Amino acid sequence: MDYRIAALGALIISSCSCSHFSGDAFPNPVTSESCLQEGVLNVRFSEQTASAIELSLAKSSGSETGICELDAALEGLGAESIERVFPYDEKYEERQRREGLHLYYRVKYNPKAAAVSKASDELSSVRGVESVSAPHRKRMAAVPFDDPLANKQWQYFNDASLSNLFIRDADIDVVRVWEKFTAGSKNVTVAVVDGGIDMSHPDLSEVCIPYGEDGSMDFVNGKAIVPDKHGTHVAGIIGAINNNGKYVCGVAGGNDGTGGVRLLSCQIFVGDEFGDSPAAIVWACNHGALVCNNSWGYDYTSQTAVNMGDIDEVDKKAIDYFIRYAGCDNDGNQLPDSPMKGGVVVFAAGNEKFYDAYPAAYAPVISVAALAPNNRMAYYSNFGKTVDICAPGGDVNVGVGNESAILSTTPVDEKYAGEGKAYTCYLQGTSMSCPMVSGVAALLVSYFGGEGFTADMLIEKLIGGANPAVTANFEKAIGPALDAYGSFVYGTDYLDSNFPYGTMTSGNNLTVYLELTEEFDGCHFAVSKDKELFDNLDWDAIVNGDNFSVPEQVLLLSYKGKPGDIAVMEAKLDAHSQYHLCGVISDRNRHCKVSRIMTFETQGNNPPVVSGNATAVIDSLGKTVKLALKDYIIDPDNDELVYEAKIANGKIAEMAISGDSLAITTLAYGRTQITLGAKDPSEESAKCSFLLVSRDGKQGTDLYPMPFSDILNVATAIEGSHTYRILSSKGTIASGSIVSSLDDPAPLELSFLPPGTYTLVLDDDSNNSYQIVKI
Amino acid sequence: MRKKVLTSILLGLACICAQSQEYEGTLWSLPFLSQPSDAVSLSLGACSLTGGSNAYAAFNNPAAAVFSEGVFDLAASAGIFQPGKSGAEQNLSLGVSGFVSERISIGIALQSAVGSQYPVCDGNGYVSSYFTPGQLRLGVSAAWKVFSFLSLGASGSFYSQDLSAQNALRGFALNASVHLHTSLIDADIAARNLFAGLGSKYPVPSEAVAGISKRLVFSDFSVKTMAEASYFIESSDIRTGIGIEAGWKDFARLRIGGNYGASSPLADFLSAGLGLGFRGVSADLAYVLSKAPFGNSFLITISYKLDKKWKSSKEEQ
Repeated sequence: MDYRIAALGALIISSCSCSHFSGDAFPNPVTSESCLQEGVLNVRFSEQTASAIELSLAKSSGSETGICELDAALEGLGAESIERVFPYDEKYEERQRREGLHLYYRVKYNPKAAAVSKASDELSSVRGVESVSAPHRKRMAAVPFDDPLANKQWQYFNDASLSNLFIRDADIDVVRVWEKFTAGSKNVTVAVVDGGIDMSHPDLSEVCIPYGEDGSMDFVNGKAIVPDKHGTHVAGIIGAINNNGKYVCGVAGGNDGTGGVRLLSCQIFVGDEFGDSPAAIVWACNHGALVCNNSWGYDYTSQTAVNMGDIDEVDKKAIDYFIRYAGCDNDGNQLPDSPMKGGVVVFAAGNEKFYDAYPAAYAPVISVAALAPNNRMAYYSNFGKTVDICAPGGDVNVGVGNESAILSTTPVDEKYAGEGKAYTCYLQGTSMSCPMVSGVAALLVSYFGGEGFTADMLIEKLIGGANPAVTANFEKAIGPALDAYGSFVYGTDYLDSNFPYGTMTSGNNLTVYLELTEEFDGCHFAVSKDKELFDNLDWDAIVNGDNFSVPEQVLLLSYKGKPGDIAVMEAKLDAHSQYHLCGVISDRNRHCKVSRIMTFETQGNNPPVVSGNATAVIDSLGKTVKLALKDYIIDPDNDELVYEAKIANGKIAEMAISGDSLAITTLAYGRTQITLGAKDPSEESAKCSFLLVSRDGKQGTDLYPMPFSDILNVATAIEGSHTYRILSSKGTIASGSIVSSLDDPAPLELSFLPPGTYTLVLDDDSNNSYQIVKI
Repeated sequence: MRKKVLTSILLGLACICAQSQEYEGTLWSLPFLSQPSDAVSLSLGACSLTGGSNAYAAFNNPAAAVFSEGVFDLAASAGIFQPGKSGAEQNLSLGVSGFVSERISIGIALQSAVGSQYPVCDGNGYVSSYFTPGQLRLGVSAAWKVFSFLSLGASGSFYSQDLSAQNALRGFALNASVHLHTSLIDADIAARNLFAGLGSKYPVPSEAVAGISKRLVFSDFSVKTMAEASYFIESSDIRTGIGIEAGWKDFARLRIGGNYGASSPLADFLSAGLGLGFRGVSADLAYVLSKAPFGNSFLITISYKLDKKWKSSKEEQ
């Protein structure tokens, strides 16, 4: 049995509203109600009816319009509400009406009461109703093409919006390839060794190489190509024309609406007949194909049969021939117009849950297993050590049934003429996974192809760039997950020779600073005094998070992030020592880049140092000021400091250390010393004192003590030189000049004054006079 | 950095340049003891011995009260000394004197001056409370008319200068005076503020005062002139004062005066005043002209005098 049959057994027929599995019903999903929002209808009324509804709704809220016939219809639908689609706008209502926006109403009804079409029909029959339509369901477009069903092709862009059972990013990540690299070149030909491709299909006709002497060929009975659902579906996955506004997208379907890679239909199935596959493969090789897609296999009935089986000799010869001579002349040299030397043969692993089944198990071919849209192995997929890679193949047991399978092209069926032809359908199986891989292979050769580019190089990128993380924990081996973008960036050296860069040492603190590029999302660094120990590190195990015993003498620093992050890893090292640093950064597929080894000397610990002792002045009571602690004490090594603050006179202010600041709230006017201490992790400390001045900001000068006996301190808000006079009622009894500021007051020696009250006149900011009291 | 350098330079310069020019005259303790307490004496150049109100005899001239034309004198004064200055004082006083017999009179007087409230702070500027400084004196006096032309008088005062809650200067002072009354002239001598400020290292305004006055009457008009001189016992400073009062009947008085004494407790000033009276009630205003802070000080006194003539006429009726 070939896989075409197996796939048919599990296929989901289409994306239409019909839920039955049938090989015949193929309504065009473009017109399907599944695209429409349930329970909502947009209705356009006549001017007269709209006015009546407006008046009625203004009087009472709800769903009663006051129009008997309409209300009856709404009641029949279980209508919950009717309201204007375009709400009344006080400012622009006039032009809204001029444009007829007031005629549209949205009816919300019980979707269980009637299907969309029935509800629409019932409302359409009401007098005064001019049109009824259900709004389309909407989702954010992520595929950059205008193909209307692209949003159903989760295999390209899976944001889990189709079902909450889907897993975001469970796709082949091909959108970024389309955007950054290529969507397929016309110089690349992919052979579809399968049922015949419908060359009249609007999404395929431009890219199919026509039947004929040098084109597509029938290897069943030598007749014409017969459009086949399986073959056409597979072909659509590889090369359905992108951005042509029609139906679906293909992996290598181009980006300008004219198609991408060419498809060579090598027909080996017609109905229940099957033909000469080896000849088809050789034909494909001799007619320009570089990638050979084979979504078929041997009809094993048991695992025992599989175990006893082997690849047919002729198939083996044909495969070997294709791999060796595709794109080459008779002598095996790359043809001047061929983008690749040698060919890539891709086989579906099979859908019987067998392991290592031929011909996919033949080592030189790329054997492809199937993934479900939740990034689990599809329930039907074959597996085994010979499986090279896995790719989305659909799984109806996950999510929404039909839409969990793979949507692609299907032969045009004239039976549905008048009702809309069916152009697409859903199928699941490794038959669908296989062309995903062929499509990505075609993209790789489209982009990287050229003189000297070989099939082996392609396979290295294809398999090497695949994502092993997805399947790492699977019980059954199905290889890494196809990752188109990963394959395109595989092996690209994005790091300069100085990697790791941004590394510095400060005191005995090591900081490894690294900006992760788009290609890398995690890094691991080892620090040790003995660089020989690096030889014993199993970086793969470290990157994969496997159990690996890191020697005690090695300090491991890790950062797991995402592209664009700044990774900062810090370590506390011994003082006055020589250290070595080495590390890897890894991309999401755990491909690693090992850094060079850096050697550096650590210094001794530098204790915290006083960086300032600026006077803090707060000019009103109850006010809170935050002082940056680093303005007073800092650590040269950038160690984290533990601060402690004490105030000499707690009646003047209260304090609290919060983060890197000291918050001071004044309670009374006055001056007091604040002592600030800080300790670094090495218990070394520094201490400083600074003056806190809590004062009335409306005063130009502070005078203290008051009353005074001998010395009067004069602290002027304006720093500098000032003249003063001391007056009694008789006149000036003392005068002079002082230099003063708030944190450095001038002491006035006034012991000569008899006890009493006097006036101090000071040219501080505006020749203020102050009463002073001598005792 | 530049700021610190500048500060250091300025501080250095300050050490050189900062100089307090100390006052070369006498610095007085309790100077308020020599301040006039009524508008009449203030407007007459502080000639309180020869021209002061008899209601304030306890402070001005105890002996003169016994020559008052009234049975008793009552006066209340209010004013502001050094208005507009930080050391401004609100001045309030009350005085009364009266006869207890034909030849003996007694009096009592109270004077207070209240300054501005200030924040009490310690050597670190910590403000712990607020205090309003003030001064007060309370005096009682007695006078004896020894002869029809001579009287003797004495008074004792309690004074208090409160500078803070913990610092007050309190004490007693004695005044004594002799009043000579002739048709030609009036003459007074007095010793005031004796024993005040005992133990003070600063001089207090204890003084020996002599003064003369002459009143001339022209029909409804009268003119009174006076002159005084004080000798401050502790400092040997001299103060002089003169005053002229022109009156129309008992209804109006116009006064001018001057006071000079470079080192005296009072500033040098000129003064002017106006008084209106009717049926024993008088309102007097004094205003001070001076370059010193004492300038612009003013005082208003409302007084009442029960006239002997009026009493006699009532008795005759």
